[in-house]
Amino acid sequence: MTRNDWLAALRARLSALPAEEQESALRYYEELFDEAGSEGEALAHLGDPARHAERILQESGVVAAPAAQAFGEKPKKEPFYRSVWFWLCVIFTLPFTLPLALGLGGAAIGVGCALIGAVVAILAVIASALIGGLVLCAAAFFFLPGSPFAFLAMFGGGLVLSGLGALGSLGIGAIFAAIGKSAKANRAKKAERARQAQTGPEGPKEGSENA
Amino acid sequence: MLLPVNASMLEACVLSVLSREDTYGYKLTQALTEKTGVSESSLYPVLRRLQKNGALTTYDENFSGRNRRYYQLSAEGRSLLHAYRREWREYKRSIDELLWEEGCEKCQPTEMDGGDPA
Repeated sequence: MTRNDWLAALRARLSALPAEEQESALRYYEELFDEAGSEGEALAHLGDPARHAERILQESGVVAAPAAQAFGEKPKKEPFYRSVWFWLCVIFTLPFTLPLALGLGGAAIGVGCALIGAVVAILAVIASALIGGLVLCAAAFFFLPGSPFAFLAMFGGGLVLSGLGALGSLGIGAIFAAIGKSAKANRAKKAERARQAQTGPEGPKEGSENA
Repeated sequence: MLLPVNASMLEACVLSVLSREDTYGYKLTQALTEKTGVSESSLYPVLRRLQKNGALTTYDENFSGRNRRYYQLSAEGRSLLHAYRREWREYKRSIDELLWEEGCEKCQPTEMDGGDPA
């Protein structure tokens, strides 16, 4: 470390002070260097520039003097969500976040309703095809005495329609069955896991030893 | 040092040295660190504080091509010094009374205490 290094280190640590205070301190220490017999002697005498800076900062009240510092006990750090700042942030961003939250909630409700509506619509189409086909078949008999061809066309159409409906209801039934099956499997798996947790991992091992 | 010099005592010492003659930083530092055992880092803050309180003023004088900043006692500094001296005399007396209580055989100063303080 040279004289210039030392003075630069001191100045860097005094950067929190007004320029006038920094100049005054620097000037004092420059003079000590000037007056000392040699640079090395002055450096050895002065020691760490940080110590000098600390004393100057204490004097100017920038850092607390050692006596004023509390011993031990660090202040407990509160989690952020319990601090006043957090709630202030919440309150002041409310004009933006509240409409956003309401909008997202509304969108979620809308999507849910649309899904339910779609399921209901599919069921209704299938049911109406089934019922409508059967009604068409029955109504065809009114035309049987007058025009057998009309009867045949209507009866055939009714059969096709009810057939499609039956097919659709079979498909829906299969889907519901699959959902029910997977739910049952899930429940069984959960129960199995709970049972294992209760008996512990040693259970099966003991059994194999006995056998 | 068993009994370290505190900030007020150091202030009193600075004022007293300056009451004899105006002095520059290096010489002041030498005189005080030698006599009181305070570290060099203690001195500048004391000088700055006294200067701000108006107890001392500074002036620059040329010495072989460079400036020396001299410290000079003001009238306020002089009265502060007298206050410190009075205070010190009081303080010294009460501490002496505690350390070498009069009329107490066991408290008489011995060779081990460095002889009679008076």
